[in-house]
Amino acid sequence: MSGPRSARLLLARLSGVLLALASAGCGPKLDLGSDVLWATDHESGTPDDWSADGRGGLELDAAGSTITIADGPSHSGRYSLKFSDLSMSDTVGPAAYRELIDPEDLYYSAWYYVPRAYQTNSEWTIQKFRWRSGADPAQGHDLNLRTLPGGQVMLYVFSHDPAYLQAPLANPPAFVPIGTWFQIETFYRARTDETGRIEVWVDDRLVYDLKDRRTTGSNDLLWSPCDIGEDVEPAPPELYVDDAAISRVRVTRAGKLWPDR
Amino acid sequence: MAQKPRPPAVLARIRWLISSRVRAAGVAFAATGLCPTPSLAEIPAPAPPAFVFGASDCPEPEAVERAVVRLVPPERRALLERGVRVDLEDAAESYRVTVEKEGAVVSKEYADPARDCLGRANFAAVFVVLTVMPPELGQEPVTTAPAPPPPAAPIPPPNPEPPPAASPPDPAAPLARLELAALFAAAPAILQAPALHAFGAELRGVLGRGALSGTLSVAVTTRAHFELSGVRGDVTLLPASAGLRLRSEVAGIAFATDVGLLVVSERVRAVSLLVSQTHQSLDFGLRTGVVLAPAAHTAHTTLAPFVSLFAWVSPGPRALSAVPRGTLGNLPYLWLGGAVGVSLGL
Repeated sequence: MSGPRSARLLLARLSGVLLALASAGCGPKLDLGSDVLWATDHESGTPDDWSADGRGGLELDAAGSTITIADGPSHSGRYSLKFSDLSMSDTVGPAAYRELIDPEDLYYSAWYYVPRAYQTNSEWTIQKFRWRSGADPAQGHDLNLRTLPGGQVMLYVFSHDPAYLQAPLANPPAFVPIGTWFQIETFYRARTDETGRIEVWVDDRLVYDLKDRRTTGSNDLLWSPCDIGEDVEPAPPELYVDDAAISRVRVTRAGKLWPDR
Repeated sequence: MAQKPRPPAVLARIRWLISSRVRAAGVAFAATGLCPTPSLAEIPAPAPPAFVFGASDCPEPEAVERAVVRLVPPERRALLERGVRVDLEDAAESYRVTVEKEGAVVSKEYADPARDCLGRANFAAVFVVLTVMPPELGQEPVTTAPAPPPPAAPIPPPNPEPPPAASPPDPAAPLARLELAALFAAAPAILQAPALHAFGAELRGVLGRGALSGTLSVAVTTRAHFELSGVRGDVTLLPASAGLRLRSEVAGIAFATDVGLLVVSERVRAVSLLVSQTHQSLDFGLRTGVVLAPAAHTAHTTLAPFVSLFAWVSPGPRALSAVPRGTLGNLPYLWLGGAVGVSLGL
């Protein structure tokens, strides 16, 4: 057999083997790690993730407000966390929280589901950033919902610091849907001086970017999805929370809280 | 003159000699020189100037000349222009062929009472070819009675041919070589693969002294750093390959072309994530390369310097992911590099 012919035959055989090996090489992804500090999808069937490491938990009031694991609706999997507010207060109500000491600049993400349209005759707080050292619960920054005359529901930011109060509304408005899961993700730079910053995304759209402000009163920070409304009709206002996470980078709507399982 | 029977062994030997000559020249040759074929007649090579002379009618000088040209490979016909002269004498029931080459003269007389002119021309042509270009084997002349007078002088061998591009195996060359090299490899950013570069070292064993030999190699690289979707990480490679080497020499430089299967052990990790994991995985592909070295050095059991260029091809590299970003990209499809080192013959 001639040399060139042998070489061609050899190359053909090598190519076949190579293709087979290449196919075998397309294995599972290599998961390099995570930038998620904490996350829960409630698929354990309990709210225990919120109290993991003793750095969080659930807060209930004396009025009988509840936080329960709901077997649907859910953003992922089967379970979510259901809030039902019976307190009729503008400061207290059912809340889940995570506490961070000397927090770095982090992103706080949670998916929300408002099961029906409500009329907000007062502010309806669905997320709070506050700190433990202050005795007054009305502190920090709140993310509130407000119903517009046309029935649309809008998200806005309110600061209990008299220097800031309500932030200018987003333009276009930060509407949130009813009966559909939506994601609120917040970048929170906790600072005791005026170098703090708050950015808020609704379904990946940056709707608020509040710079150069005090964002905490001490070295701790409590992030708290909640359901607090003094006058929200029909009562009690209910909402669902799922797939909550604290991370060093944005989770975004497409992000994953765990490696492929 | 009485006709002497032509032994069958003589004819067979002539056929073998002719076919071996033609095969050695790489020309497809379906029949012997006694049976001229169209393929030889169609070889597009210029005919040499007339070199067969004589007042012979049987065979005619032109017929002998044509037969000689048919027997000589095109690339060797220039030999006929270097002082070759053939004279024919027709003595009715016999004929004489006299070949003069660069002053040396050889003459042979053949008996042929039947006056087969075509056969005479072919026999004369074979005698001419064997005299001008003696084969490597079977140097003794083809004899028929009556015995020819001894040649006036020995026919000098033809001019040496130029060496072929692929060197034949040299028994003195080492059977195996070890090559140790320092390497640099870079991976271009292709599709979702990041740009990377690394330094390293490679050890290769080459077994075989001919044009084709086998190779086994293993290399190791330093950490190659990458950034994908904001995640910084690094990868360390341990490539190993098994393949073949095709070697040739041109102008004192030994060129070797390598091709082989590649198995790469990859150690990948992220360095910028809050929680990082290190993975060890295998990837498969192809390694190809070109090696240049001084030919004189590689033919002996001495240390020989060499340089090489290579490519590592991975058609199915591993995808990389991180939480919460998801898929970041993948490891490189292609590494290109160069190496400098020394080889030692064993």
